[in-house]
Amino acid sequence: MPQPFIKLHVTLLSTLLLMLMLTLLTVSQLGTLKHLDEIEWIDSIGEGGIAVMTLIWLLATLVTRPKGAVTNLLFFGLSAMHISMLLDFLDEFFIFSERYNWLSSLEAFPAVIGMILMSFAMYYWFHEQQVLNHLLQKKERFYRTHGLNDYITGLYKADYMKQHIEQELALLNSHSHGFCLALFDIKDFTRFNQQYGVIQANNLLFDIGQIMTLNLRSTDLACRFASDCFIVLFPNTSYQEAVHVVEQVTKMVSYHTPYNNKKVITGFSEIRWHCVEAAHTDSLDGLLAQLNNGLAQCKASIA
Amino acid sequence: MKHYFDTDTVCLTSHTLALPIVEIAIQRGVNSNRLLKGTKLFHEDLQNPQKKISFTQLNTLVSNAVRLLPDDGLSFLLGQHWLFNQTSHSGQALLNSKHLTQMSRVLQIKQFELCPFVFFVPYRSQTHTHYILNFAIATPPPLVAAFYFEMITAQISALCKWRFGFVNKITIKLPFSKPKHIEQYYAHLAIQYQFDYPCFSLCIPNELLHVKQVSTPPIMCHYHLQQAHNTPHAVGFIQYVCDLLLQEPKSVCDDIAQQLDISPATLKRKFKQHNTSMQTLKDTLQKQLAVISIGEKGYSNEQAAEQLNFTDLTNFRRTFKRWTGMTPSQLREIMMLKT
Repeated sequence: MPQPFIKLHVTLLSTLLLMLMLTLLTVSQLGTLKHLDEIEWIDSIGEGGIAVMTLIWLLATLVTRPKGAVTNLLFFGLSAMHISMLLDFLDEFFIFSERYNWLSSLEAFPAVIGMILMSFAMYYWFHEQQVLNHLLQKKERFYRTHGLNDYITGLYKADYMKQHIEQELALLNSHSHGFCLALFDIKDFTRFNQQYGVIQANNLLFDIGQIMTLNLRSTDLACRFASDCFIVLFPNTSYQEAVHVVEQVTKMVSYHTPYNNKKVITGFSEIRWHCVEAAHTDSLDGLLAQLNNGLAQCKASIA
Repeated sequence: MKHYFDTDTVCLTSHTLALPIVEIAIQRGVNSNRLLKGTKLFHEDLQNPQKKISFTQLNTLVSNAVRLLPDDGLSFLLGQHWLFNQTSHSGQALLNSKHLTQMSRVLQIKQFELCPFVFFVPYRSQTHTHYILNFAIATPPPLVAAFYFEMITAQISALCKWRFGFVNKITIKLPFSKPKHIEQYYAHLAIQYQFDYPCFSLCIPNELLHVKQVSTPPIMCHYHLQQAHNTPHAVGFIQYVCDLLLQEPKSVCDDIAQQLDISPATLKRKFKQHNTSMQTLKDTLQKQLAVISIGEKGYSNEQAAEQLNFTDLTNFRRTFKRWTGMTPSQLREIMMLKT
């Protein structure tokens, strides 16, 4: 982990190092060390703590973010704040003569500039997030729970879907908002997995997840159910409408051609599905069992 | 005489289960150091084909994996991976067996290579044969045990689907309640399954035991068994003691200690180290016999009590309730409902 992050932000990290050295050099050249008795230790521990924490935030930002304008703004904002805190901290150990007293009066300025830069960063970060939210539209509804994310497909896992089905069931009972659920599985996925290996199979799962989300309406939610199964929630939708969307999705997925090093991979043909409409009497477990049985029958009838 | 090994004996090959767990988890974005924490193993070590690990280390690894990837179906993937990557002669002998009965024999002869951590005892009723599976080396913690049970279920399901094709007539009964991640069962299993059974049991209709595999030349199994003739044969500690108990159900601690050539105090320590006790093992074996007799063979309480040498019926009913959490008649009701 540390290797790529150092490589990625090598310019920013060297800038940081340069700024820190410059600050330390200026202070040590212009000031004289205080006598040990004059140092207020409790004060310096507190100020030192703030300086260290801002430095940790700064590094955490670089570890977690890709290159770009928002990262640069965050970096310079946090660096400026860090330098202010560092000056404040060093102030406890150094005393400045009349001539250089301006240094201690100026120590708060970098922080102000830093905060202004950070405000801009937050503004652009908000824009960036809006773009990402748009991409996530059919993969998430109402709230974000990153713990429930499936690493391979980038969709949410079955648990996230279960929470939403329970909400929809409650809605159905209080407001009679009907909804439908569809379960999909990939035909001959086990054979595909054996023939081309796990990495190609995972890529196929990712691709199919993407195609499915592209071909859903903005109100629908797609999640990975388990193994090669995907589940889609159609809120406020009748059975006929849901089946129409499902058929469209199935058609689009069947056009998909997976590639491996420019060569077409054969063996993937289509997905199978089963759709159910929820009734007032249904429970979460009952609905999932219905979907599973329906899909099993569908598989058996095709085979 | 057979040898036995302990939960801390470093003798299990790492590339059958440990390495696949690590690799599958890494594909799911888990850091290998976090996964191997507490096992004293490194990812590079595991890649060495000669590397051996102990059951305790494997359990720690599984427990980490269950914690880091909850409800992710890792156990099922691992079971399928195991089946489709059988490269050893013992594994090929298993896959090329004539029918299920021969498979069960190959499993018994080559247990150390194929499934060192569980052993099975078959019980035959009029219609079905019930293979009851128990842990052979030590009793793992409940979550880890459930992981192994799911893995074995996936292995059996995939094996039957791949080599035979009568999957829906085979039932696995699991000794825990319906889990939260039931969708993994839906997606991975083709065989039937039930929860809340008093033991882990595989039920196969008797007529299927001798149905032949279509595409297997009979000589292949024989050939691979010959090639694998000098593989080690040792069983886990619990299995060793259970074998002795099945031969002599009335044995006491001192008898077993004598058979193992250790002092009774050492035996007691060993039991503790393997997370079990003499009484637990005796109870487990008797419970399983009682459950099969009452639940599957349709014995009356009197018949079952007599079979287990209980003189007093009330005492038998009370003991049965202590073993399984239900009375004999409750078990009969549940069995009626499920069929």
